[in-house]
Amino acid sequence: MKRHTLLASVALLTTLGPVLAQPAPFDMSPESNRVVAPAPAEPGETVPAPVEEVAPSAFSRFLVPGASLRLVGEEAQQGVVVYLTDAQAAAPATLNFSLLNALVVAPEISSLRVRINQTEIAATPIASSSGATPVSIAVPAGVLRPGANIVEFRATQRHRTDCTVESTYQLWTEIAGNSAQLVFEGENLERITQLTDIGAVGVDETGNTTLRLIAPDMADPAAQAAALHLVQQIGLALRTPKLSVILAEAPAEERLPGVLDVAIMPAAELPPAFEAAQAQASAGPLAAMLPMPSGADTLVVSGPTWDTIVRAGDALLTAAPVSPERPRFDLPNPLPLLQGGATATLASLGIDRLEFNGRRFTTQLQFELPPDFYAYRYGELELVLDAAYSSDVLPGSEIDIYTNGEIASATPLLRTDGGTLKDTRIRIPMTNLRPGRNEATLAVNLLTRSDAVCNPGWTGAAPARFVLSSNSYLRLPDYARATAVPDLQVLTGSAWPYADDEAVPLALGQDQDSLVAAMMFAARIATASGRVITFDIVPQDNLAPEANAILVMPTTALSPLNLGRTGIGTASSVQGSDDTLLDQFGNSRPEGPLSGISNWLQETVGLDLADLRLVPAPDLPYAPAAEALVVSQVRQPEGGIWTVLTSTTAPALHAGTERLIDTPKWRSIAGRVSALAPGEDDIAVVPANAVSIVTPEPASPFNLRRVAANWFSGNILYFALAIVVGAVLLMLITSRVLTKIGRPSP
Amino acid sequence: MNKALTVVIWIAISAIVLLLVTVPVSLQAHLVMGAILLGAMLVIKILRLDGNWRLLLLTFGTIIVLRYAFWRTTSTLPPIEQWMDFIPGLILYLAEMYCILMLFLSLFVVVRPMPSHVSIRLNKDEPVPTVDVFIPSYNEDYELLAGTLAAARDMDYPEDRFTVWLLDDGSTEAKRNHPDPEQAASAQERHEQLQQLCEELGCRYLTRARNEHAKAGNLNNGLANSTGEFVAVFDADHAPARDFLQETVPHFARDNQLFLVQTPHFFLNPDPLERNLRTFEVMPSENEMFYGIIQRGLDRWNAAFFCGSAALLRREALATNNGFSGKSITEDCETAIELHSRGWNSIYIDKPLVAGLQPVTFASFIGQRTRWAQGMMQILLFSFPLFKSGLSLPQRLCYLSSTLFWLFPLPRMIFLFAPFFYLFLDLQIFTASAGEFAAYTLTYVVVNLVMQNSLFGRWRWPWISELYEYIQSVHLLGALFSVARNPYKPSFKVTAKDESVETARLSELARPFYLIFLLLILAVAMTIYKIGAEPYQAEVTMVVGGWNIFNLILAGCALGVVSERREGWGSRRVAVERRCEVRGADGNWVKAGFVNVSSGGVAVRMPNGAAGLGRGMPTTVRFTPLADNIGIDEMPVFIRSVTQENKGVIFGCRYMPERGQHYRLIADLIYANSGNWQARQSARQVNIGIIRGTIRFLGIALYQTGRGLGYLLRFGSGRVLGK
Repeated sequence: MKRHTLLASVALLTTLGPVLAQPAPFDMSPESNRVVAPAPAEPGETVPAPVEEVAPSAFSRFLVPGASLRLVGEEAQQGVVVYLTDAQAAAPATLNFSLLNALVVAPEISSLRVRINQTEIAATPIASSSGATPVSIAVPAGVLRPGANIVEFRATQRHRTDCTVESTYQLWTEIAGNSAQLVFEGENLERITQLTDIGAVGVDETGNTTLRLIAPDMADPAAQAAALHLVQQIGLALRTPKLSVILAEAPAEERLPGVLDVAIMPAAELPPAFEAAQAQASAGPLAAMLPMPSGADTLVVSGPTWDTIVRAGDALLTAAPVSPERPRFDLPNPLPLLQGGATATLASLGIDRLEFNGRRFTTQLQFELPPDFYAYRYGELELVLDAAYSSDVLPGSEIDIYTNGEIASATPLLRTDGGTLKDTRIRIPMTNLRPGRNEATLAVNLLTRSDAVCNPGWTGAAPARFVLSSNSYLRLPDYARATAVPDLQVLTGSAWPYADDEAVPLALGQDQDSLVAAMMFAARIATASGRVITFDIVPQDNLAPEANAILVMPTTALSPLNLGRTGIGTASSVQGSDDTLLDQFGNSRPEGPLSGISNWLQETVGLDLADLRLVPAPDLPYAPAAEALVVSQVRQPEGGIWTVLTSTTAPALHAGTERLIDTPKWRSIAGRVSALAPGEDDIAVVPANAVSIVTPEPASPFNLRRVAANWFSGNILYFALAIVVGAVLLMLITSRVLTKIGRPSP
Repeated sequence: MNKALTVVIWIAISAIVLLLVTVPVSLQAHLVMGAILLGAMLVIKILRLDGNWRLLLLTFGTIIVLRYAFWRTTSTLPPIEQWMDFIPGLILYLAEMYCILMLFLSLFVVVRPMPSHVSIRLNKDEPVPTVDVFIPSYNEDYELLAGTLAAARDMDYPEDRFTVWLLDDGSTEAKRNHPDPEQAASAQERHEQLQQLCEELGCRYLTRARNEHAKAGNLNNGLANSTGEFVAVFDADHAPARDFLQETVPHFARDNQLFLVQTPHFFLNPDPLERNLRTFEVMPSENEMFYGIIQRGLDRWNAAFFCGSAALLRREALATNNGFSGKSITEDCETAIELHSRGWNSIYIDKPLVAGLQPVTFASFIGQRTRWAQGMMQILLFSFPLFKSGLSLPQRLCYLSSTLFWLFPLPRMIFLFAPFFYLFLDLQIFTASAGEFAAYTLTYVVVNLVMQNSLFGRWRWPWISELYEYIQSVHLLGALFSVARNPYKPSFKVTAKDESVETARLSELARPFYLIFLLLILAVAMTIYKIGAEPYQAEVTMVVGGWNIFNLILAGCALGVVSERREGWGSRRVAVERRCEVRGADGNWVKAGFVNVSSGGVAVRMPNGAAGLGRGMPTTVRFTPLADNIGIDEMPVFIRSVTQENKGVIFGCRYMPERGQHYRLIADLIYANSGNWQARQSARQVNIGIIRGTIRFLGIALYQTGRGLGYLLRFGSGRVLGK
């Protein structure tokens, strides 16, 4: 009689929620304020700028994909991937970074270990609570290698005084993004000469990568299509999540980290600066890193015609393919695709066997689900645990699983007399799973006798009390395969349905902002899904509602006909329906007398009254706020799935898209409409009321049954109705049969 | 639509519904669907809708039960690697699946119970067939036999067309020549007395050399020595009503393949549960469910079976089976299944035509049930009904239901002990959260209650089935294992029914009930401890603890059942209104009237005063018997009590029979009018509903727990605690 379902999870969510949501420790000592909430600017001020210390002959690479790396909890691990050229890998290198940690971290028993390519290169105590401390570690020769290198930071942090699970939330260490650098010694190390090494373009100090696109005439649809194709390929080849695109007139004047110049044009139009490539490009497709006098990393993609240029782009992915050996630079852990019935050991997900003497152990893992994953309402996956714990551990210790940030299962250890968990199955509702990449956190909260006593120094001195075997594994059921339309999550996570199409009609605004927005959007889809969409640029009047299409342009540029097909309304067209609009937000709860019942049902049995609707409310046009960026997907009555990326003005479209492609925001895109208002950090999501289901061909009865399970679970009254209709039919025929069989009444 | 096509469509629709039922939807979807169906069922039930509505209620219920079974099968079994959890978990699972199977089998049986057969008479030109009436006896006493024989002789049927046989197995040659001279003498005395009685009553007396094959052998000896076309069988304590043969014989003329007309067993006295819980007058008796609806349901499928007594059988059919079957110790059902498999038919007439006695003490009640359970197990083992050739599919299912029913002690005991695995041993034998438990198990339990109540509510109050099952299971479990170990071992033991409980006492079988009660109390204490000590699983603990408390209520109620109240037998009275005359002190006949009769005596109303009679005086009562062949009309009685009433008095008289004919007069009084009995039964057959029934049951359980514990303090020192 284990508690592991939704109900239990909901109950736990309500109890854990406040704790998790509380980033600040409860410690009220005067220093705590300073260490707990570091101002974003602070690391920049306190860390001595390492760039200045480097000798002129040195060359440095930034590592961190964001503003900072944060290691939270008793055991934390963060890694990044850095791509190196042969020369860089062979050169003597130093790893520099700066540390800042919470005051409550006990320095004598807390340490940060740095590993490169599974080799531990240093362990440093975590003792920088008063200010950011620079750390410099010489990388032993032979550790770095050409291509992908995984740099991992593993923190073991223990509280100074407290032995409770709650106290572990106060433990953190931060590595400022611009402080983490690999510094190489030698001449001309920055040069990237081969396409294979394109990943070595890397990122700038904020973790961004920028494409400077040098193209003669981007008004030509063929040029636009080729450029759109190429930026996706470049995004994949660079192994970066997020690609900013700038249209540039001329080659860069100097080399900047994280910036790649891309010249894309027919051979005939190549300017003098790229003369070296002229001859070869005139002969056939060409994609090559071109040495430039300025030293800027420059990629030339050219050929006699635009067609050949598209083919030239393909060479990029041949030289720098998407493969498990070349992980995206912010995702060093393996990312296996888990099909129905698949299993994946923790080892295969990049989690090592672990011995643990703390109280809250967490580890992250990720896996990918296919675009037609459709089991988020009914299914459960299993974590089959092999673990052991010492006799110190008490019942009531708990194993929690979070999926994509939401608690999915909370399983208390009911018996701790055995000392082992052998093949212990933890059932995890797939409620928060989605097509594309999924993140999960395994957290083990340990209650122990000795922690209850909590002698001084015990937090570090306690013997190992929990061992997690990396043979533990995830097991997925044979889950339903179907795609719900509209669902932006499927697009942003899996490029569905467009990646499967031969060429997707794309209607672009007449301005450059629309083109740039489209390129960034397309590249972001590619880097999330690993797939490239082929576009066919068409005027918006030529779009056929029967076919899939994408539109990227300001709302004002949309023809009235097409505007009606986007699911977006202008403020005037949807005036007076504000109330209905409010209701469309997923989080909105009915007010009034029903809300009490509704909340009660939600809390006790996880029942959402919205699932009880017989006739879904119509999907009314969404009226975005001024300047807000909106992504909207609509399935046209004629069959085409249309996605629109728009904003009120062209600059807002450009700026909004640039913000949207930031990973946390990108992963929040869902529903039929997602909107990002200027100045907001949260994506507003409008879930679709009317959803159509596309099942994969050939149809299998088993899959249909599972699809029915998911669909019925969200359309509960239809399930009840189907059962009632079935029952009435069965009753009628039974009544009929009964008159035919058995002895007649006298 | 012809039959085959209808059945094919039925199968197709069933398959679709089954597909729908096994869609693994979310908990919430199940909960909403369950709530809707349950609501519809309650509406149908409260409005007392019948016909197709009743069928719809059953269909809805079936769907919820199937969903529960599906969920239980796919989601709740502990992993097989954890065998400590898995084995008890599997056992509990199998017990539940057995219950679900039985629910569906009984649903099939009673889906359309046969309405009462119209009473028919032989046509004038039809020949009146000859009937042999067999009254097998083993150890019943003289008075009881005299009453039964007299009632049989009193039956309304042409004198020359029926013979009453006393088949005495209590004074066989072997018994009369018993090595123990005392036993031999008593057998000899019995032999002579009964022979004398038969002579006086105009019955035939028959005994045999040795007691071979128990009751079946005795009956077969009767068959060998008689020639009547039909054979009526009455247990020695089942006195037939006057119209028994009139109601049964004509049916045989309508169907040449008819081998059996079975009638219900109607009891004049309460069983131990009814007596000790004092429910006899108000609550339908246990057997009324079987005779009131199950036999009628079986009758629809031509599967009503012989119950050993109160039945008329065709000799020709019995001959094809070489008489009554005797392989099992329930020869009645075994004979019926054999004859059904040979293509003979049976019917069941839902009208009480015999009045009998049932076991008085708990111990003899258990003895009787042990025989039934063991006999049915033997049939299950020797001729597994599902694969018995010759039977139709419905007959197979019916017999499967009838025999498998007797496995109930297994699940009942498993349900009793299952919470202990969690509470005491911390085993996780049912992996579900409290929420799932509520959504699936609770709806299943409620739906089960509603279905049972709408099917059987008139004949069985809520929770009473569970109580009967529990009180039997404690002792029947061992009996079932004994049959499984050696199917040939059980032997026919005659159930004593003419006992009486002279003083209040604890039953000799009471001890396990108190021990179980104690265990359950400990489990309640453990529940409270666990809720406090292990807050992380308090929800589950509360669910399991609630289940344990249900068991405790049941077990507490059972304590009352094994605490035997004091009561003599024969005190149950049947109201009659017949005129009579009483000889006054002066020797003149005074007009009077009967008020009620019992097997021991009669109450007589003297409207115009006592006529000089008083308590402790012998006198004679005169009345016109309904049977015209008794020959006398005067009955000696003894006045035991006098009650003043307005102008007149009521005498409570005891019979003082001197000759066989006097027994016929008594029988004429008691058994003359079977209409009486039916009225008495239907007065009790009221569906009191689930809520009232549950409240009533809780009240009874609370009171009986107290009484049981009180009896333990008063009488328990030697019997339960000591020894």
